[in-house]
Amino acid sequence: MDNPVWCILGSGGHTAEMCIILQGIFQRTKDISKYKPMKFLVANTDTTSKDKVQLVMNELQQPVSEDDFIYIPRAREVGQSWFTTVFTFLYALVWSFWLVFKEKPRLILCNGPGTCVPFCLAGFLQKLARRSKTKLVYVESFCRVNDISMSGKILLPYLDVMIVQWEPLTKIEYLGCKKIKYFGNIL
Amino acid sequence: MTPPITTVYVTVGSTKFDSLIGEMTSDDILQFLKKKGCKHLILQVGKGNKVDEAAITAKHGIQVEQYDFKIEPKRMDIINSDLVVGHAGAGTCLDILTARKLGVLVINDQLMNNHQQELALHMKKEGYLQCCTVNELKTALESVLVDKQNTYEPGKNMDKFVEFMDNLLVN
Repeated sequence: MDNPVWCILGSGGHTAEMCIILQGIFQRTKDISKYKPMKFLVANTDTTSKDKVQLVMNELQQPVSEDDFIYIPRAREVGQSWFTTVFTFLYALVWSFWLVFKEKPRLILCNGPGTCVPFCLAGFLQKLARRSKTKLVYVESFCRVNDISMSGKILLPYLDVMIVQWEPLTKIEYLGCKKIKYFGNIL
Repeated sequence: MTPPITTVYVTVGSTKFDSLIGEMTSDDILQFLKKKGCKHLILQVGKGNKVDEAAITAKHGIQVEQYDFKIEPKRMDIINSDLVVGHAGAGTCLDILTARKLGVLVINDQLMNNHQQELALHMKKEGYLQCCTVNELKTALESVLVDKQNTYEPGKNMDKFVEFMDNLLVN
């Protein structure tokens, strides 16, 4: 079976934007097989994002089953002490690296929640080691007009491309800024 | 000239924005909206205080509907309204644009969220939506009904993005 395409889901606004992107892709692609099998990575406490994506994919006649979701352990729960956070964070980090090395996704598509950072870093390292040809695509949020987000700044040097939604972001000077692409409004 | 503004929807998002709700239900604004044809006022107040619906209806003859939150796949209150007055959250902003509605984004200066303000100001600069603080609301409402707004075309360049993705996934 082909290596999967990964779509990393965030919360609230991030998921809403990702749903529009998924609609765009599945309605307009010239070759739907390029995006299959698609797996959705979702925080194990975020049922809202999962339900929303399931609804959208059903509407697109691309039904998803339970097997298409991969649950990510949280690096930190709300209210968790900082001492134990060190361990849960490390666990989450090792877990994401292990998953990337095992599954060798062809594409990691994400749009900004912090959870995508370790996956993209792992994907980059794996590519460096020539174990896979994982493409890393990051779509910056619609609400970012003059400055990219923190996770975007961290990841920019390692991405294949960052899509921005407003023209002012094409003018930023930053490590890896040549990877920024602007098509005009896509949402 | 814009057609009559029959239904006005006010939305504050996931927290509260009582000063906006207060201003939108002030006599001054309600009289203005009434003059522009407003018959229904729908308020999404979030965690904020509710208003006295009956008093408003009695005084101004405008029907008021209010609720804290609604969870729905498409925000029907935006789709069914003629004018949206809302907080400057990205989701609300995008929903107003995709429904092609007249909109005023109100910056909550008690909530120091810089990129909300950034987006709101940019929407105004692009001529898609009006943007103001609570104190400037009346002026912003007057201008949103008179000034020509630029039309945002939802998904206009999605084709280019998908074509790019198709090519990227070539091997």
